[in-house]
Amino acid sequence: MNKNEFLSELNRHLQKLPKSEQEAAIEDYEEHFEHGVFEGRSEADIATSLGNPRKIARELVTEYHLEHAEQHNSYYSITRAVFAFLGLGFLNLVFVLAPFIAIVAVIIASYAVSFVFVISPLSVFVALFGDDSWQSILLLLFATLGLLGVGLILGTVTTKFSKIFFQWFTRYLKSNQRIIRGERK
Amino acid sequence: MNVQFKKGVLTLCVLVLTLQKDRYGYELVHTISEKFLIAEGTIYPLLRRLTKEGYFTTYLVESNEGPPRKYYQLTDIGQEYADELIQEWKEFSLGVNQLIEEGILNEQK
Repeated sequence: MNKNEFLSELNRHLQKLPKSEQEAAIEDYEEHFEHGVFEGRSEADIATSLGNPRKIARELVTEYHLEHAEQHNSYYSITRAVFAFLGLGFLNLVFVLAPFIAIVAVIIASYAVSFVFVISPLSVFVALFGDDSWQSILLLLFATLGLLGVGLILGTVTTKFSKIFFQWFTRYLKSNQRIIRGERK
Repeated sequence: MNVQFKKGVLTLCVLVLTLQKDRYGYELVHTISEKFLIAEGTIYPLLRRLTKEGYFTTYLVESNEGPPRKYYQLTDIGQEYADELIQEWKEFSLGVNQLIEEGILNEQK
């Protein structure tokens, strides 16, 4: 088999591929023949060591289809990603967003309460300028100092809780991402 | 030899050969076929696949002496892939060699 026979046999079995693919493949083998001939080998010798052109063609076709299948797969996964996103969007809206807003509201409220408690001793100064008796001012002082303590504790607890809550929530969002990307972990 | 296995080994070979310098198709085929018997034509589909997967980029060099050469250059991910396959190969061949040695020892007993 000489160069032309080899190339036309190869080409004959590549008909199923797009023109550009065929040409690119043929070019590779043309170049190979040219190099071989340049080194002083005979065309028949080069063709023999290249192997059966039909088998080579089959390999090229298989590679092409494999690659194509992967591309199809990616269209499929885009569709899947969109549906996953919509589905998760609905789920998130109904089952996650509402509780999320509620919990954030609770966190804000308890911060507000603890802030008010913490600054409550300041009311003693206001009372000083009024005409309250010193007993009632003293009572106010102790009561508000108590509130200050409660406020500090409440603030600390809220901070701890919101940290845990936001960590958990980030993890939940990340798992959403993974589902949308199609990873299954 | 098993086709998939052979493909894997040939992939490793072309990646390793291009680690130090860019090489052209005929050179790759020639270097490998000096070491062991292959159907030389199977290297080109392999090179095409590796190029499409982004492990190689190619460029054409016209030469005064001889035909033009299509050079294959490893990309960054090609480099990573090569390292990965080399590691896999080392573990694999170590295992096989141990099995062979144990087999020979048992035979001698």
